[in-house]
Amino acid sequence: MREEKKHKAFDKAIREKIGNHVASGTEGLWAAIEKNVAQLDAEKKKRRPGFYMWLGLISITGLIVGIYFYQFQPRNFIEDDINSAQSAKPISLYSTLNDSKHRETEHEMVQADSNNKSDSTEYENKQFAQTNTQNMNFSNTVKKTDLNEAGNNNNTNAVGQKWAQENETSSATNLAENEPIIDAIENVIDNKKGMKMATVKADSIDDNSMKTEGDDGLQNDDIAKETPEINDTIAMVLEPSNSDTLATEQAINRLADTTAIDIPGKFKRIKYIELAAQSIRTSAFYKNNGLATGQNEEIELADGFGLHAQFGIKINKRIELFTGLNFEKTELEQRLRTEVDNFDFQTAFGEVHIEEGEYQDEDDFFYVERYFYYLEMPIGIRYNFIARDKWLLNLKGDLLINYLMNQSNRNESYISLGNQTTILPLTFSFGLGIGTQYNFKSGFSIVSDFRYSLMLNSISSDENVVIKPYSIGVGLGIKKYF
Amino acid sequence: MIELETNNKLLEACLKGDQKARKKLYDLYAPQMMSVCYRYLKNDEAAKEVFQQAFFNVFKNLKQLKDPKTLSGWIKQIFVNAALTNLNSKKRLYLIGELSDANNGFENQNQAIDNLEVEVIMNMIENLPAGCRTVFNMYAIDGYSHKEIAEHLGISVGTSKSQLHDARKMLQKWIRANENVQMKVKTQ
Repeated sequence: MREEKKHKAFDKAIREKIGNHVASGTEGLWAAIEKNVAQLDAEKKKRRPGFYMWLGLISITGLIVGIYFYQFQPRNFIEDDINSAQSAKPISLYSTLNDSKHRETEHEMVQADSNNKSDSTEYENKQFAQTNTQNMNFSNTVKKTDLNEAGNNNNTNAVGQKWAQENETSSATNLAENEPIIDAIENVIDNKKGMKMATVKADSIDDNSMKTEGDDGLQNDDIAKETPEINDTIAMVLEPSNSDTLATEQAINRLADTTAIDIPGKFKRIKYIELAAQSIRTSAFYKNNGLATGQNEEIELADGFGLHAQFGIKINKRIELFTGLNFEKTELEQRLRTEVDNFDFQTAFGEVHIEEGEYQDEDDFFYVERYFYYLEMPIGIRYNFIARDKWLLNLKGDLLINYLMNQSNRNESYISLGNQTTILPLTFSFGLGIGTQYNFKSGFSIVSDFRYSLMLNSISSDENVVIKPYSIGVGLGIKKYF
Repeated sequence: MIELETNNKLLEACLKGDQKARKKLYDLYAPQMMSVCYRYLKNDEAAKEVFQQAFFNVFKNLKQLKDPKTLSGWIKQIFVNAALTNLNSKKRLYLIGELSDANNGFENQNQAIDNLEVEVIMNMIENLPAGCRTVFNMYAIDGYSHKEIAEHLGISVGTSKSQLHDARKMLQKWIRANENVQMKVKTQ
């Protein structure tokens, strides 16, 4: 004990003697430091374009993936091709409703079509082709040979013959006019056969541009695992006979690397990737003008889901920036009601046409279910307002660029109505959410959040129609820090 | 309080890239930190090299300083770390052998230390073997515990203690020898 006191007294005496010692010779050293710091400032400024280049790369990747999906539409593509060929005409509910009631064969449908319509115009001929195709699609018996046959029927069946007799145009010309449609159908079927699912793989963040000096990304557990090895190595190096300096250098470098970094707990790693699924309920604010007299329409809450792949960086223990790719299938259920004899629905999404007698009474409702498949790129910020060692509670906000990959519209009998041409392919939205995450394993966290998002611009290209979908969602996912 | 406010303003200005503020911060801490470098590094050139690198690190990592009240200790920590890095990248730490206890019984050591010039003590510390010098500096001067030293250097607590013990012995020996020389000079 006496010896210990003596040692402490000795240490104290030395410390007091030299504790406030100052050394000269620093005057000439500032210039070099100033130069290095100025270079550092310049480098920091240079790093910013790198970050934007990275964001640009993500955007391009998203666009390519979106185009890929758009080119190889997984469903409803047959009638879409035909609809695009007759986009001047409104979508007809007549044939599809008729289909749901009778499920007739294609030849019976041809006959019915032929009997019901007295004027065999070119439009009708195309309508016939559409009817055939929709019927085949619904009954799920589409075959390439059938479609060829359907195309040939334009010349050989009753409608084709009647059309040929009543018009001066020859059947050969008619075939030639319909060939592009038939080719389109064949091509799409071929594409469908060869269609593959695309996997999007997120690029990692550029280490050089993002890494914070002094943070080697190791957690305490990792360091602890390495400590025995370092201990052994340093012990060897400390031996006078051992001239190996490498291990000591590594140990001291670790010490130096810990300088000034204090991101506490299990969340101190600076980069992460997050995968989450979200269940969403969607509706829309809309304001439309010039609708048909007496028509009534509503958009009701409908279900959807989303898959999110996001990655980001931790600026400090509270703030994270993120981006990524979201896939969202959004459903909007539109209820149409007729009160007078008007069967051309000027809906917020465009025209919908039904035939007289297709509704039971004047209060009859028609439901149109609209599915929109979006690829979204969020750019957002997350603020951890509670940051504990194992769990976080945060608020997040993001702006999203939304690319419409595909759409599907159908009536309540699950009959496809084809595409609406007035839906904008590119829209913008924002999201606000509150979330939590729990670290269950080193580097891994479970995340969950509640989110509200709203389109910032109308999804309709019609200037007279403003329709802005909004959604609320609950998500669950997993997050990996690097 | 005034010092804290000054620190806050100075730090804010430094973070904004104000070169004058940076120079002011440099002038404020440079002499003291140069002393730290000399304490850990025997070589004058190495001390200056570490000094420049450490000050660069201070400006580079300044935004990560959370509490301005700890500025002084934070800067010192960076210098100590930089000194240790340099020391071990160029010259290995080594342990001296077990010293005899013949030098025990140096009863008036505090008086002897008081009589010494600061520069002489600094010179003695600089002349300690690297391992002893590092541990002595960290423990006796900069307030690290043996556990912290062991963790930082990757050595055992026992090794840290023995290095400290040897450093004390050597310093006591040199201080005593210096005292004897002084007494001889006086008597002559």
